Amino acid sequence: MLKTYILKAFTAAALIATALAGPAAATEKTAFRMIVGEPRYMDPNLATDFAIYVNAQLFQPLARTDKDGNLVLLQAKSIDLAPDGRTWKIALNPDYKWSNGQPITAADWVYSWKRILDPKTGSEAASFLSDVENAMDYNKGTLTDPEKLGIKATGDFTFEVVTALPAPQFRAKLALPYLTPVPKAVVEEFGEKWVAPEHMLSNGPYKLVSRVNDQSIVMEANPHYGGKKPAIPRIEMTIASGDQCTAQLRAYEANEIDFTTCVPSQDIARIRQDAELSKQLDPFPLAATEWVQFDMTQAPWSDKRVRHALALAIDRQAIVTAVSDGTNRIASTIIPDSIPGGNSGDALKGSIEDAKKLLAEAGFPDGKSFPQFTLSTPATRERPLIAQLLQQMWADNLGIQMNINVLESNAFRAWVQTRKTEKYDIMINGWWSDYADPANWFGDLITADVRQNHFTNAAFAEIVKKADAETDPAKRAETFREANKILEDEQPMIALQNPTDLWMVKPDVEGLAHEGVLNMYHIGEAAFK
Amino acid sequence: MLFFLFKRILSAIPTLLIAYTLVFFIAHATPGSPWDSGGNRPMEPSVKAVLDAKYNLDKPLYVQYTSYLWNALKGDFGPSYRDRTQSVTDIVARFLPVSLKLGAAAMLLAILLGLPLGALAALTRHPIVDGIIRMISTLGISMPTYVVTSILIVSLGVGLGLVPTFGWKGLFTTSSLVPVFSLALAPLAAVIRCFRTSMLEVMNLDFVRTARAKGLKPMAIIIHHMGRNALIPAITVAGSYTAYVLVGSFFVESIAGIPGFGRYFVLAIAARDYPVIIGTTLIYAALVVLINLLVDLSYFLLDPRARLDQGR
Repeated sequence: MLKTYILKAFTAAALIATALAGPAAATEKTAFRMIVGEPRYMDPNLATDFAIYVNAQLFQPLARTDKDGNLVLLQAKSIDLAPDGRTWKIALNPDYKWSNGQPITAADWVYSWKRILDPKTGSEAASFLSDVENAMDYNKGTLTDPEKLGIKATGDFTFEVVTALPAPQFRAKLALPYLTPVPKAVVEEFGEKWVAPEHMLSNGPYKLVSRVNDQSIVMEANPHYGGKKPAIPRIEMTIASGDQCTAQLRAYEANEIDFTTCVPSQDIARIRQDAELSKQLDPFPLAATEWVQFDMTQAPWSDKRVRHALALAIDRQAIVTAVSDGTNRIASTIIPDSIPGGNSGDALKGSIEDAKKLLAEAGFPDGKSFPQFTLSTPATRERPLIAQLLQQMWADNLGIQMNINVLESNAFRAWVQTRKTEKYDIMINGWWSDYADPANWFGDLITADVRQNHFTNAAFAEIVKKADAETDPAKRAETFREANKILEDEQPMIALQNPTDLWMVKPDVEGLAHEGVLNMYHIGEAAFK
Repeated sequence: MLFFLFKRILSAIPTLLIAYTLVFFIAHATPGSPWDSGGNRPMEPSVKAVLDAKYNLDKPLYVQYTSYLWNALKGDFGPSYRDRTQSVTDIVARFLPVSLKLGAAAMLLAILLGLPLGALAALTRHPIVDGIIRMISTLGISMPTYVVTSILIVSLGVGLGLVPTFGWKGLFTTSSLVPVFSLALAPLAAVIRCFRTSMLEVMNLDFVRTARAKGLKPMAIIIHHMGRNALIPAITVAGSYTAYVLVGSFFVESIAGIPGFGRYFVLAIAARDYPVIIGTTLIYAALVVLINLLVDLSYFLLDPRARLDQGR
């Protein structure tokens, strides 16, 4: 009764105001509308967060990788690896021009990549060029001469990249959205302000027309783009902050935008049950895994039987159902099947009875005298819910008690970094493929111990080293598979789920496809029906 | 009067200094650094060191404390870490006007609706009218703004398609309806309740009875005799809400997608953007001081007793 009164009052007021504001203009489809987060950087040399999705409409790398890991050339005319396995000879396609019509030269590419490595730039993308000769010494400041870097122009439209060692994974990195050119002359003239709409030159399908910070970004087709001309002439992005998924879905349902990149967990079931909306849902399984991990240097986690017991006592299906209405996929292994070397056949097998037995063998029958421990998790997305589910499952199945420590996401990241030297019990964490190569998982994630898991295994390290240098893709995958078996037997992390990105696309849009391990979208390749 | 002003302005200095000190140390004590946000990988220590050096974060905290204060006194509130192309001054210049417009519209709505409704609630003997007015004021006080904003967006935007669900196209467009209503609701409720109470108090006082006995028109009594005397508490309440509404609500702006001061403040906190957090807090504090001062000054206009007190 009261509610309807209020609603009616507001509705009436809104109606009057709408009438005063005049009738809404009929929408003509010339612009692709969407909501994005505010890019921290529009500079492609600096952007490493979701800004790469905005930037991908403006800037383009040399190539893209297809499903089988082969390069599909874009800005490059050819990419050849010399017989030494270290020298990549790159010829540019001179059809591609900056958005003001000027040629994109090898000097722009070399300048851009050296700028990424320049410690003064402070770019997080530097790690993607770490294979390049002398790159890390230069980036860390121990080498100051950029001429010593293995990146050199060999002509107006040709350049060469030399890696320190034969690095087969560098092929996939050449397709990274971080490794685009920047217009040398413009960057040198305007410094950090070069990304302002009045100065910025881009080499991709669109150019930046206007940007109002935290409010809007507008792009229009780049008339000098060398690839297939975009069918959609204009992109209008509204900037959201905070819960972008909710803002996107509301705007999408109100027909204000053509595309959402995610669906809030609490709305997934409703969307999937809706006859119309469910057809517009476009899921994409990500090359990513979320897991719960141990501090391998601490008891009782250093005991493999304890790790196995905890792993076997988890009902992954229940987790996936609770957090994503079953749209995420259960992950029984850390490395996803889509990564060469990953194989869910290597997963740990056993029942809850086995788990109980293992825990008893480790000295904790029915969970008795098991130490009190804490699981730490960032307050992002569904992770606190996963923490509660684990708490319940382990209490029910093994009789062990766990505390949960939820940290704000930045605080969590900082906390994880300090775990390099400080001890912890367990935490929820995850990894998203950066580029389409197993080295990104076995090396960058596990061997480099970026998540402070402190997993060390001589045999594993040896095999990964061997696989890293292997240039034959089949043999490489086979060798990594050996490492995968060790990893799953050791269980330094218990894999839980592989997230799925849920896009929604309006029925009058076609050709908007998921691309690569980062799930990029390219509006330049889409069209209105 | 001038002495009063001088005293108040002077006392603002320690207030602002305390605000600065608190926000500076709380911001820096918050776990996480400006460089902990972002991508899949943790930032390379060498890159972190470069950025720390660039923004003086490698200096001892007391050096940062004094140098920021010194620069702020000169009007330089520093760069934004979250967006390197902007300074805090740029950000304030861009985002504060949006919040000010929105807040002014909301306050105007609250006062223009609140005073007559409050008066009506006090004067009427009709239980339904009184009930409705009391319901509005209770809802306005008890419902958090994020709930109100979400309900309005879902019902008017998604459900009826009358207003955009998100974004800002200017004050005189449908995009401002939901945020203005949401922001106005709490001060509206407060003004209604406060004005109702003080009107009831004034109603039976001697001078009102005298005025009635003199045979003045009821409207004249309500406005000139009762209203003016009952206004002071309502102005005080409205004043305290003005500071909060003008500078922008964190919730309303974030949910409705208004690029205002409040939303930027939230983003700055999430990004550990120290100069923005400190700069915007200082400006917020200064505004609160200024508005309180204005509220006090308005007593001079409304209440002769205040003039007399301070004049001594």
